[in-house]
Amino acid sequence: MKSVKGIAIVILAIMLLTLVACGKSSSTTNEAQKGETGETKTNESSTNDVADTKYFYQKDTSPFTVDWYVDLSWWKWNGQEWGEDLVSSIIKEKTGATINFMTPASDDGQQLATMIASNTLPDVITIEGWWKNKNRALTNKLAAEGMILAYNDLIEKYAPEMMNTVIRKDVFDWYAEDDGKTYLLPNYAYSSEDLLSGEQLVPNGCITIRKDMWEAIGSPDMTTPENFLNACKRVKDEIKEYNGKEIIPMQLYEFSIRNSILWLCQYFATPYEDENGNYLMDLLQPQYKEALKFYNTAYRMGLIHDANFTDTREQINEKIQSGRVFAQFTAPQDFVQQMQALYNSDSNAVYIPVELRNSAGDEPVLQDIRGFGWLTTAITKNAKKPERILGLFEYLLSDEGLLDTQYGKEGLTYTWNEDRTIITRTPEAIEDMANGSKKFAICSMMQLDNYCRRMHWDAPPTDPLTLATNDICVKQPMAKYSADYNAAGGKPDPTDPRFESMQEVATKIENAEKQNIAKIIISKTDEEFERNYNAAIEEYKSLGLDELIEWRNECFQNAKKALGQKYSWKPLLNK
Amino acid sequence: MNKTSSTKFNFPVFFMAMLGVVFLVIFNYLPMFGIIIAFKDMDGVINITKALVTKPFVGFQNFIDFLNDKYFRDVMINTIGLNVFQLVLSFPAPIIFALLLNEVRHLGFKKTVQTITYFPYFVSWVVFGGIVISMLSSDNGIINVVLQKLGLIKEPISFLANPNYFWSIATVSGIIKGLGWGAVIYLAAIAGIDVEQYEAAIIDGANRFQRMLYITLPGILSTIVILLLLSISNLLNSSFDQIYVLQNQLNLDRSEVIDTYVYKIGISEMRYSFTTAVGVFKSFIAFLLLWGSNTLSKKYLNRGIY
Amino acid sequence: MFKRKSSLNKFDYFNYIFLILISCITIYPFIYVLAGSFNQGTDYMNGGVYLFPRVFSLDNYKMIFNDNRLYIGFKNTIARTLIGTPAGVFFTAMVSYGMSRKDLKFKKQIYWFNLFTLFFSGGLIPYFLVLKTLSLNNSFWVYIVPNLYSVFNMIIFANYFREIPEEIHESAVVDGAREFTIFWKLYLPLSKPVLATIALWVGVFHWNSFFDSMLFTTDPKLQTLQLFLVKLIKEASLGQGQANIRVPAHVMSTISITTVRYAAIVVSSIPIFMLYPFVQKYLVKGVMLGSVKG
Repeated sequence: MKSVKGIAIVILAIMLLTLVACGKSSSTTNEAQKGETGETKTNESSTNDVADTKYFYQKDTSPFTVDWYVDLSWWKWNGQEWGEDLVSSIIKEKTGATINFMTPASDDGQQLATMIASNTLPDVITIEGWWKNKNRALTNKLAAEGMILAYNDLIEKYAPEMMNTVIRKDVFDWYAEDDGKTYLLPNYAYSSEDLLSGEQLVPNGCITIRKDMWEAIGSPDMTTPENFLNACKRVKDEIKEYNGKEIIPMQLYEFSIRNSILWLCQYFATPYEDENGNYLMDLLQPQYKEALKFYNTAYRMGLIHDANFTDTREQINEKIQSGRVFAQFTAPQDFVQQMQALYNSDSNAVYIPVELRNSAGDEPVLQDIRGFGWLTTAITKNAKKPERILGLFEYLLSDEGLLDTQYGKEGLTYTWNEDRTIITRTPEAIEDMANGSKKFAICSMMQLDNYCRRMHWDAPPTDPLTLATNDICVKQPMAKYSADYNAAGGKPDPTDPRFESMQEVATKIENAEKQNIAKIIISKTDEEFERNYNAAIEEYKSLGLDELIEWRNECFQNAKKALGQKYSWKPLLNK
Repeated sequence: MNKTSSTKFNFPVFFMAMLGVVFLVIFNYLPMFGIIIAFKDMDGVINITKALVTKPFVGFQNFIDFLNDKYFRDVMINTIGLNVFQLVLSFPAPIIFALLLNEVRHLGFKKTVQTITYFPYFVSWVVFGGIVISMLSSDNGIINVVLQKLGLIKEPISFLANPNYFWSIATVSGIIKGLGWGAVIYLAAIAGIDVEQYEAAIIDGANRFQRMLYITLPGILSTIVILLLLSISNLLNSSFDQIYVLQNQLNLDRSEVIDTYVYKIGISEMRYSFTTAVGVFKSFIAFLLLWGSNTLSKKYLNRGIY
Repeated sequence: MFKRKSSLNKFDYFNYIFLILISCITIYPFIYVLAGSFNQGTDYMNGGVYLFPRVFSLDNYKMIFNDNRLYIGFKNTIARTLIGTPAGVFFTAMVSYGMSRKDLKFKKQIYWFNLFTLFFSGGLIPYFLVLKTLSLNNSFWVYIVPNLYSVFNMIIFANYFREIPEEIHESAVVDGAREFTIFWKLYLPLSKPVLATIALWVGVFHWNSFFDSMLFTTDPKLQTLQLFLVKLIKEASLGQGQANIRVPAHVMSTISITTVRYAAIVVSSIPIFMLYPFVQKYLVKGVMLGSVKG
């Protein structure tokens, strides 16, 4: 495995709302945006280069069709029939490609498994990336079985210059399989070639509070666990109601996923690496326990409602939209629509982040957003014209393709500022995007979207609604706590015989954890809390926690090696 | 004449029955080579056809893994408990409903009730379960509001957060959703009963309950027995969608059944051999149950599947 | 018919009240879904829509009806229901007739051969491989052929046929009728209630099917109605996220997955629901009159 120094694989992993990142311009810190002038030249030169460079895809633009399977049930091509909306007509005109997209009806992987088993894979497949260990193994096997083609071979054979033009070498190498070849091209993988130095992205999870309510009780300090809970208690006792409905002092995420506790753990700076550089499992850390204790105390103070444990996502949506929630322990990007609806009915109902810390006062380390790319795309051995598909990808990865697919047509759907550094979408484009991008299909092609390249182009938002509710705007103050360079996810070796069994152990522990967290939080006394907590740890151990930690440590060391890091845990980096 | 013809080989009848056999050979028995997966270690394999040939047999290892699973006992108890609970309550419900409906003489009323009760079948569990959850919610759910107004309870009850309520909630919601649909077959059976029997009974002076007891019930008994036998054989199966939507982390102690458990640790993780082994295990038990209950039923009720 | 007296006794009152109560409980989901489907999506998420739409809107339906795939889906679903139901009912009934006869050779063995398949299956992928061998994948016939026969329905049919008095069969044999004629001309007409029931089951099965369409076809032209609706709901979750794009409030999407899902239920269940009275006719009145007399 080649190790690449200074690689910046910084990824917007959590899948749900990432794709709508089109237009999420301000994901960089403001300082970074101001310091962008240096980058301007590169932007300009590369966009101007387009006309001069003879790209491989331009050699043959005769019509051809591509069957493209995207393994996401909720995704679809937003536009019209291929070639009738703006973006697909541009793609068709420039590359000759007509793409038939296919998607499954459910996300249980059955459709993909059936296609693989029956050898009916289409020309191209896009699946979620290596951050899903399951897919790490899957793509490894697909490559080993020869069912997907190596980009190295294709590029060498048809378009050697591609390596230097559109391929981001660091990301490309990170995705190399054991044979040294790369079979997958990711989207949202952040190459050091595209990032500005010192740039930090906003974190994924973010604890927010209703600003107006907080001010109504006199803007007390909420950065220590105790103060936080007391403030919530005061909101409950003093404000009591919003629009005639009882206040929910603290709203946690759905309990069917691990996120109900994950983010609080990060605020409490639960480490995943010790001073010797070994992997630490969050479950066993005192900060994790403190997070549980925090929730338990809140529950016993009546700040967390029983319904929180039984609510489905839709019911949580309803609660947030109703404005009853004071503190959200959720991910703002998952509730933007609710917060917008709330804001529209009451423009004082604005959520702001709070810098909650653990009792020791450690700085939060917000890192879980970082993974290994979001979606990955491969050309299968069934592809009838792999070279044409390669050409299509070359186009999509190029600045020209990026502009065409994510912004549309200059003058019609977007405009550059004078020095061609900042793009503004036209009102027509925004209106169409808000209505499902049917006319232009802008941002629909996200399979090879290099967001990191283009995020510096977006104009920062100005309207109050966006500033108040857009997740990136909301989370911006927390960017300073985010840890971008992170190997916690590890780089497991799917050919290792332990891979399958460790996957199994991890799944079982995670299932048990979800159930235990809920039980521990509703403990009625300190003794019961201790008992439940200890029983939970015992349960994890009996499921194979120790072996899992050992395995994860190996994966962690692999990942650090690949990233060229000695330490990964942010507080250790400065040592 | 009659007797000789019944012992003679009746080709047309045999041919008709064999049409079904041929169908099953193609669409059911041919794919059964897949059962081999349960006896090999093919977890995580992608090229199943190839692995079926190349991977070595591991005997009953996958079955043993399941039986030795830490949670095997718990999910088994829940599966059987919930099913027995449902069998006792849910199974008779459509029968009683059909009998009551049959007693209604106002045709318009009868049809209306029938149509209304038939509707929930078309609402998916995702939606129906959502309605159940919000009605039972401790946060202003209608059931709690009513109980509080009636003064039966002081504090709202978190029905779904308490594992002890789960079986009842699953059973009752299942009955409501399936009542009208389940009654259709019994109504058909009742409709098939010869009217002359009722007329004769009236002449003999039988009252309504006697007629229900001595004509209607025996008239649909064979249908009841068949459906009962098939229900018994489903002891290890659960209504997955229903359980999955109603369960949460706090009622898991009573709501985790084989199907949901295997879904969480097997299917979503591509553990083909493990999930196939669980499936074969369940099928085997079901087959035994059907065989056993059918034999008993033939012996004591003189009725069975065939 | 045999009792003209219209006076109601205690039992009747109890019965009516009980059935009305049951109806109220079961009709509620319908009202709930209907109200939600006509309510504006974002407003619905404020909660509290129980009986009537609060902010009336046709957007949920527009979203469904403005999609071309709806019409493809309807076409395929109607086609498979219209072809698949009679074919499936006829084939199964015919096999059941054979299975119900006392003089069927190897009856016990054939029954257990049938019953075995109720429980054991080879799994999805081997099944798909068989369909592929038969060239049924990506073909309309994948909806029809594998669903011609159902063991469960056969058991119900055969049970019903057995209840038909044997004298009818005997006298027909004496008259020189062949087995198929007896099945077609005598048994089927005598079995209208069960025929209607099974037709209802098979019809609703076809109407609600999306699994085969999802796994065994990739051609969008073969997509069924339910598959389209499943996908539409999944895709609506994307629409929800789209609010993320910084847009002025007045162009903000007002769709919510929940209300679209309700509208989808209404759109998909109403047509099959309206057919129910035709089936019901046989369930309520289908009485064998004077059958024994022949």
